Amino acid sequence: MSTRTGRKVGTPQGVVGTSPLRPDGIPKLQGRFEYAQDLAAEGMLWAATVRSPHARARIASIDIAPALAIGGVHACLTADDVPGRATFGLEHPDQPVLAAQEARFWGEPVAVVAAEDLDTARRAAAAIEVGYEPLEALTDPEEANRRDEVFRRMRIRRGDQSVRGAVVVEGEYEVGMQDQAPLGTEAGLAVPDGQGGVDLYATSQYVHVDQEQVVASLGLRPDQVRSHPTGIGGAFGAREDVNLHIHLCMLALHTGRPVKMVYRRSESFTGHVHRHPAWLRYRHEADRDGRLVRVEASVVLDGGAYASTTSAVLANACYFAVGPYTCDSVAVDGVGVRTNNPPCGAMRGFGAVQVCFGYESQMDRLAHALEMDPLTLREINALETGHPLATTGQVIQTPLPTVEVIKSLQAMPLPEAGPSDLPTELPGGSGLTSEPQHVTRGVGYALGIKNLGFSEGSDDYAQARVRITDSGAVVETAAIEVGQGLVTVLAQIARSALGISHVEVAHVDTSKIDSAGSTSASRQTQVSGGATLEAAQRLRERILGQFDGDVLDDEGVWRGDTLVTPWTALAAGDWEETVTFRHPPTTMTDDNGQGVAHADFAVAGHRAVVDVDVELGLVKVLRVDTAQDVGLALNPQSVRGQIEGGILQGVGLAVMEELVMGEGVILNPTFTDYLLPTILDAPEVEALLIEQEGSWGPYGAKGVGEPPTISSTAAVAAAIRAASGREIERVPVRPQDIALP
Amino acid sequence: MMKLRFASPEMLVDINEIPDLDYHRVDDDGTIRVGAVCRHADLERSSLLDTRQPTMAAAAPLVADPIVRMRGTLVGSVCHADPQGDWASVMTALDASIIAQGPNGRRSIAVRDFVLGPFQNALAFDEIAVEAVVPTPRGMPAGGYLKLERRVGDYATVGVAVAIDRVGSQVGRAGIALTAVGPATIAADAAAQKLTGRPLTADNIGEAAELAAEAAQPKSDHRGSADFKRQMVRVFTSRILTGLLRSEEEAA
Amino acid sequence: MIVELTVNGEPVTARVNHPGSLLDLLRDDLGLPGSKSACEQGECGSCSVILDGALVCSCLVLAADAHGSAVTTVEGISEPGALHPVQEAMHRAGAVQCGFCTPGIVVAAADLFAVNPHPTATEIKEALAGNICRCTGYGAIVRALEGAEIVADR
Repeated sequence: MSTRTGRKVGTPQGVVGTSPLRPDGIPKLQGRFEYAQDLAAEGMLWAATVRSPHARARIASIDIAPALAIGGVHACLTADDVPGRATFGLEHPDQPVLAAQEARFWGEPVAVVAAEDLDTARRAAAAIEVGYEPLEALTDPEEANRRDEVFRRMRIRRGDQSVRGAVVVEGEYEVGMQDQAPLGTEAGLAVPDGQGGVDLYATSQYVHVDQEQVVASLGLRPDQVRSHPTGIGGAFGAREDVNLHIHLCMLALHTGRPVKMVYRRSESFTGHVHRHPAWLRYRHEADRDGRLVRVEASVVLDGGAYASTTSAVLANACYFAVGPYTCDSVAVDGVGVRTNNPPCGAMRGFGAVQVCFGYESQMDRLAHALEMDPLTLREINALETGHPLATTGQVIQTPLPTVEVIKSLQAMPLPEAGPSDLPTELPGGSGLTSEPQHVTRGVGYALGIKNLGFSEGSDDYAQARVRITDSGAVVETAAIEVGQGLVTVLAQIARSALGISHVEVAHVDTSKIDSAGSTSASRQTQVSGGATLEAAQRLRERILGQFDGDVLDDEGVWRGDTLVTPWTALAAGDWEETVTFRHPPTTMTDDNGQGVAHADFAVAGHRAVVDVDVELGLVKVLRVDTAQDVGLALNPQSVRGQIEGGILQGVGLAVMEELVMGEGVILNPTFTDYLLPTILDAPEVEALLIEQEGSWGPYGAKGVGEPPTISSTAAVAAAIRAASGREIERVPVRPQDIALP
Repeated sequence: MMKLRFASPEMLVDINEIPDLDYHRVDDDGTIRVGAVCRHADLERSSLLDTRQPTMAAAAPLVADPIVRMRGTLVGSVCHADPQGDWASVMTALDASIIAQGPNGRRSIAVRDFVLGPFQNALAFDEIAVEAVVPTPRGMPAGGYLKLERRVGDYATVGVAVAIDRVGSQVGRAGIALTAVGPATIAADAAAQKLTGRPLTADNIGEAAELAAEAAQPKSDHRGSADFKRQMVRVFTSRILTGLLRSEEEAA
Repeated sequence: MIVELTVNGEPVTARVNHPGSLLDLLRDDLGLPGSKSACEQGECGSCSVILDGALVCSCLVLAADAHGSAVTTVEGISEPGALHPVQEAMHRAGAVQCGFCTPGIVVAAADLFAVNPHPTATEIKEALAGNICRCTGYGAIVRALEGAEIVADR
C-alpha cells in the first residue's frame, strides 16, 4: 500500500447548501441534450394515434383495411390486439389501452398505427374508418354526483359537530381546469430486444410504474420490459400516467422494429390528465376574537372519464380543506365524480391548490366581517408544530413555521404606489390598452399547506445506489429529473456524505435498480435524497472501517496525516452501497377521516400586488412575494427556481390558464388559445426561505416544488378582489368577471 | 391557415419575390398607398403614419407579436379576412380599398366589400391583391385603435378602430369598425354617422358608443361572453373618442 | 423541391415536401435537433432561429421559403467548443431547468445582444416575449441576461 503524508485540509466542492451548476446545463444550452423527441434508432418506424372525436360514443366498427392499403404502413392495432390486461391506471386500472366498445372522452385513443415515416403514419391514422354512434355524454359534475358516478367519496368529521360561532361567512368557489402544459409533448421510442422483450425510452415521471403497466398489458414477464429514464421537457404531474407507453411497446413487438411517437400539441392536451376543476362550498364560523370554531366544506372534483389519481387528489383536497389553521370542529364532504370530460389527475399541488383558493377567500371574508387585518386573523389561527391538523387530527411532528411565514410577509416592503407612468407596465402591457386614470392597485395575501411524500398508508420508498468510480462516485437512481434539479441535488448530498467533490448522477433503467417512486408530491429530494444520504454514509463508514482510516476525501482514505489508500486503490475495489429509504409510515384514515395520513408538511405564504383596469377587466400582476418553509435549502439557486416557476404557474391559474370545455370537448387545445404566462406576465418575486431543521429529509430538507403553486393563485385573486371590489369567486379570473360581474 | 391546419394547398405561390411591392407612401393629395409586401414592422416604424394617419399608427404596433410583425403584411392581413384581424377594421374605418390585379388588369374593391366572411375575400382565383389605398382625408385626421387581448400576443377578444377627419370644430367624416365581434369585420356606420357634421361632445360620444355596441354581433367563446364583448365595444369606442375630445380641448 | 441554403455557415442541400417547415428540415433532414418543436404555431419560440439576420419561428417558415437563405440555429450560435456569452450567463444564473425552451431563448437572446449589448430588463422582456418557459418563471433568465455584460463584437 502506498502512503503519503502531509494532508491538505479542504472541504469538498459542490456540497449541500451551495448552488453548484447543473451538470446538464451546458448540453441544454447548446441544444445537445437528448430529449425523448430527439431519439432515433436504426430501422425506426413512426407511430400515430386515432382518437375519438366524440365525448362519448359506441364504437360499432373499426375498418383498418384502408390504412393497411397505404404503402409503408406496417401495423394498425386496436383493442383486440392488446395481448394482456386491456386496461391501465395508476390507482385503479380502469382505462382501456385502446377504447373497445365505447369511447368515453374526446381524444380517447381508439387505434394506433406504425409506418415508415411520420407523414404516412398520420395519413394511415386518418384512413382508419371508425363507425361511431354518438351517445349522450355526461359532462355535468353535479348530475354525475346525483347518478352516483363517483370514483371516491370523502367524509371527514372531527370534534363536536354542534359548535357554532358568533361570526359566520359562507361562500361558493370554482376552479377551472388547468393544464400542466410541459413544453415537451409526450414522446417515446420502443425498441424490441429480439427475444420477445422491449426497451422503452419515453417521457415519464415514474419509470417503474410505466414498466409495471406495460408488463401487464403486454402479458410479458417483468424482466422482459425495461423502462429507461430519458430527457423530458417538463412534467408538473402530466407524466405520471401512462399514455403512449403501452402503444409504443405493442407496435414495436408487433412489427419487430423500433417505433417512435411524438404527440402534437393538440394531442398532448388530450393525451395527459389535467388539474381537476373544482366546485367548493364553505362555511366558516369564528368567535368575536377571530378564533375559528367551526369549518364546513364541500369539495366536488371532476375526475373525467377514468380514475387516474382522482381518489388521491380528492383525499388531499379534503385533508387540506381548512388550510394551515387550527380548528376543533370540522366537517368536510368530498366527491370525485366520473364524467365524459377529459380525465384529470396529478398536477403540481395535487388537490391542495383548489381548496386553498376556497379557504383563503373565506379567511379574507371572515377578516372583513370581523373588521380585522387579514394577516392577524391568520396568525391567530396559525397551525404549528404540535397542533393537530384540523381535518385528520394528525399532530404535526416536524417543524411548521406558519407564524414565521406570516410575520415575514408582513415585514416585506411594498412597492411604490402606482400605477406606473410607463404605458407598457399597465394592465394590457404592450397592447397599450389602458391608461393610468383607469387603473387601481390591490394587495392580497394567502397561505397554503400541503403534505410532502405519498400519503394514506402507501408504501413510499426510493432506492438509490452509491458506487465508487475511478473519478469519484456515482449515484444511480431511477428517479426522474424533470428539470427541477434532482441531478444536482443528489450529487450534492453524496458529496457532503462521502466528503468528496467528484460525484455524478446516473439515471438507470428499471432492470438496474428498484423504484424511486414518482417525481411528484415534492418528494424526491426527501426520499431519493434520503436513500442517497444513507447509502453514501454507509459506504463511507465501510471504507473507513476497512482501511482503518479517519477521513475520506478526493485523494483517498487518510489516517491522521497519512494517505493510507489512494483513490486509485479504492476505485480498484468493488465499493457500492444500495439503500431503500422509507419515510415515517402513514395510515389510511378511518370512517371519519381521522388518522396519520401524511409523512411531512410544508407551509408557504404569498403576497400579490396587482394593478387592475376594472372597466376592461385587465390585470397586471406586479409582484408576488413569498416566504416558504424549506427545512434546509440544499441548493438555494434551485429552490429559488422552483419558487419562481411555481409562482408563475399559480399566477397562470389565477388570471389566464384554463382548458375551456364544451360538451366534453376541449375548445382551446393549442398554445394559441390556451394561454401560458410569458416573460411579460411574470411578476417580480422576492423569496424568503425559512429554514428550520427537524424534518426527516436529508439534512432536514423539505420538498419545495409544490408550495409555490398552492397559495400564489389565491393571493393574486385576493389582490384582484382588493383592487376591483369584485367578489372573485372563480379562478382563473376572466376579464368579464371583473368588468361585468 | 396552414399552421392552424385549416388549409393544405396543393400549390403555393410566393409573392415575396415580386419586386417593388414593399412600399408605403403618401401621394401629393394625401392618399396613402401600402404595397402588398409592406410588412407590419415597416408601418410600425413609419414616420409617415404618426402625423398623416393616427388610426393606422395606433394599430401598427398592436398587430400580433414582434416576430409576426417582421414577416406579416397589411395587405395579407386584410386578404386573410380573419374577423379577429386588426387591419381589416382599420381599413374599413378609413373607407380604404384593395387593388386587385389579374390577367385582365386592375380593379379597386372597397375593403368593406372585399372582406366577405371568415377567411373569405372577394379576390377571383386568378387575382392577387397588390395594394391597399386609404383615401385622401377630408380634414385633419384623428383616431385610434384599441384592442383587448387576454394576454399580450393573443388574438383579439375585441377591437375597435375609430377614424375621424376634423374640419374646424366639426367632425367632417367618421368611420368606426369592429374587430372580433362578428363573422367578419363590422362597419359600425350608424355610430359613425352620429358623429358626422357636428362637434365631438360627451353626449354624442356616449350615443356613438351605444350604437357601436348595438352593431356588434359577438358570440360567447373562450375569450369572453357575448355581453362582455359588447360592453368592451362600448368602452373602447368611448375611450378613443373621449381621448380625441380631451386632446382637442387641450389644444384649444 | 430541392432547397439549397446555408446552415451555421455550411452550405446544405435537401429535398423537401412542400408543406414541410424549416424546423422539420433542420431536425429531421439536417440532423440538428437543438431547435425544438413544442407548439407548431409560432406561439412558444422553442424553434427560434435566425434567418437572413431576422429572428423567426422556424415552425412558421416553409422549408421551401428558406431556399437561398442563411440560417443560424442554436448549434451555430457560438464558436465550436465555446459558449456564447448568453449561454455562459444563463448557465451561471440557474436559468435552465427542463431546458426545452432553452435553445430558443439562447437564439432570441443572442439576437438581442447582437444589436443591444447592454439591454435593460424591459428590453430583455420585450425581446423574449415570444418565448414560453414553463419551468423557471423567467426570473433567472432576466437576471442572467441583465448580468451578462456582453459585448456584441466579442
